[in-house]
Amino acid sequence: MEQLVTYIATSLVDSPDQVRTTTTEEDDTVTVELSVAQEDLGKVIGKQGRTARAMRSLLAATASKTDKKSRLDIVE
Amino acid sequence: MADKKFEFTGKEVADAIKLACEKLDVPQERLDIEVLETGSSGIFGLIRKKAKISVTVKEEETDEVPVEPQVEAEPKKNFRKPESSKTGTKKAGGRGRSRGTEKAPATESVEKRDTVVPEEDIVPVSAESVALVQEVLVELLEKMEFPSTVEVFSEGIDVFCKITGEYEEYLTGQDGRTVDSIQYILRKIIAKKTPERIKLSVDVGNYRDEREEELKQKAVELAELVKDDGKTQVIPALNPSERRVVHMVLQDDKEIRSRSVGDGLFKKILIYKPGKSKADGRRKGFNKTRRGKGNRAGNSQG
Repeated sequence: MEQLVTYIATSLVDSPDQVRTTTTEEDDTVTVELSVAQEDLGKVIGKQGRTARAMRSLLAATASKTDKKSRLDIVE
Repeated sequence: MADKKFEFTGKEVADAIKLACEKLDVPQERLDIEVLETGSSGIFGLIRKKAKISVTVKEEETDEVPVEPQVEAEPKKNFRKPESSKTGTKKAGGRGRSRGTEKAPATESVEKRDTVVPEEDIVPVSAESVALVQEVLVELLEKMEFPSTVEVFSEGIDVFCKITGEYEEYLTGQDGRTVDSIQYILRKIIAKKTPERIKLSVDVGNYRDEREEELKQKAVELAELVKDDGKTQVIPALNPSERRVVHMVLQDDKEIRSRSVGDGLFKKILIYKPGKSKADGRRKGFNKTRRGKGNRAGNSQG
């Protein structure tokens, strides 16, 4: 799942080398933290958070395969 | 412009324009309309003012003025265009229409919005881009841990992707949310990777067709209900393309009307009988008392 976030984020930003992701798993919740370059924040969030929302729903789909819940945190 | 000016008055600017079109026997597009005074229904119907416009019949113009500067929609009544009070929602009137300018050539109302790209700009999508779409989508699905078969084909600037395989259910998601997200992300990625203009759509199995059929059916069923008892029916949370399907199928039915209400991407659709429930769908603040005479003091408190 981390790979998925990394792939999408690096494809959308201007500075792919600054994309960092970490995953923590707790009970049945997988949390992926994503950090990108300051200027790229808008790109991974999108208008009205639309990109972030789309990423979350893709994550949710993947997580549901193993009956898990997912979280995507975009950190500054 | 060889022009002759005419003045018309009406309860609202829209009424005045309508009158002008009838009297002069010209379509609205050919009128150059200058709003002299916007009508006002006043406060609680007290201070009523009639709308006054001055119109000139234009010669057929081919070179249209490019998009006029959009002035922020102010709540001031002087800046309201007639269309905005007609549709009731602020947004509908605000996009792509000139407002705030005194002269409002009616030519660029509806057609202007749809024609984003002139005909000659349509260049068929290159084979490289089609391959790129295929490659990105396959990779995306692999990363999602749902490896699937992806077929991509193009037609003009349209590129269609069809995902099939054992994970179709996961990839569709509830109400197509996952496939819509895939489509959105894929569009973003592709837009970043190629300067070509591509209209991309993603389908999982036969989801889109099935959904369209389902929506059409639902719309027709609800329309029948509305015809029976006159009560307004609602289809909640539809995205733009879904709303389009519903409006299209109901368009030819003169007994009922449909309209979208709400904010953001997902709006609901109201299906109602004209005349009766117009006020239901209208947002309260925009409830202009257009019809009827006399004191409507209680009305605007909704």
